[in-house]
Amino acid sequence: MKNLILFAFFAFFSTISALSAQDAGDKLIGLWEPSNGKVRIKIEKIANKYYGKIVWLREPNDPQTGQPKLDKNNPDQSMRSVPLKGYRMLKDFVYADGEWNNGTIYDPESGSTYSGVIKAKDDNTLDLRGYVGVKALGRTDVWKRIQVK
Amino acid sequence: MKVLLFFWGFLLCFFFACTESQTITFKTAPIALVASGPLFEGTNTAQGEFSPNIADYLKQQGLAPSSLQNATLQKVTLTLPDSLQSDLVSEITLQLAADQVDMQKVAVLNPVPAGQTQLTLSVAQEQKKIADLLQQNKILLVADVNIKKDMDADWQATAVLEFLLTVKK
Repeated sequence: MKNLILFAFFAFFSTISALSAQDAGDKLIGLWEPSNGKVRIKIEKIANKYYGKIVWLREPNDPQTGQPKLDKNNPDQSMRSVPLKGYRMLKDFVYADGEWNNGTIYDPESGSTYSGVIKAKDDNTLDLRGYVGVKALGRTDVWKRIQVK
Repeated sequence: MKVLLFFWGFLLCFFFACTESQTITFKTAPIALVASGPLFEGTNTAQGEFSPNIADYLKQQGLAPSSLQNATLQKVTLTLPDSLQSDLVSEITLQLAADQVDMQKVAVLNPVPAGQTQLTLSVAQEQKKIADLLQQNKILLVADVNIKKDMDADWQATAVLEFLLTVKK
């Protein structure tokens, strides 16, 4: 009986701590703007991972064509007709130990993909670091939350 | 020296004979994709999931589950309940993901032709870990659907994916 109570106690607190870790990770969900202000990114959660897609561009049209901007720098030529509006530039971030990591950041201006780690400075500010190989050699950008009325 | 060369040649022939491979097609059952309304103009996410059960499929073909060497997505077809659903959409981008395999963009259709109920997407030339993906219990389909104007109802489609599998004989 004592063992059963101990087991139930342990299971209850494990579940609570797992759920609260999930909730803490969900503060990434929302609308964000990188420091250059060129795009706005909507971060959503799909099957316990976080993804961010471009939902707004300051210059939505390509000045050369007058048409909506496409992912014309994608290294895979067959994917260059994908529109930038709606593009998933943050992929597969997992929340653990107070940060979101194991994800990738795509830079549509260069067509490069970087490993990424995201830290929340506060509820409305993110430090987003992109790097290749070594985390210390990357670059950090500050993103601000856009309040949706 | 000649004997040694002959020996190595024999070994190489033996190796290639043992690893002779063939290709077979694996087509999924229709997978429901739904973006729950109300939906707003711009990009919206439709999701669906399926269990590939690739081991069972290989067994049905008289092959061992471990015989899968490589896989590529060959064709993606979306069927819409009516042509209005395609009229409302300007582009569709399809991604695949699983718990243990990162999300990857696999197909796109831009622009979506109006008045159609059957859409064939352009498949990505560069694909990674599709064989690993097919060995997962559950695969998630994520379609980014760019909607031209707000709609209250769900946006729905069914997807059929065709994979080319390279398997050991």
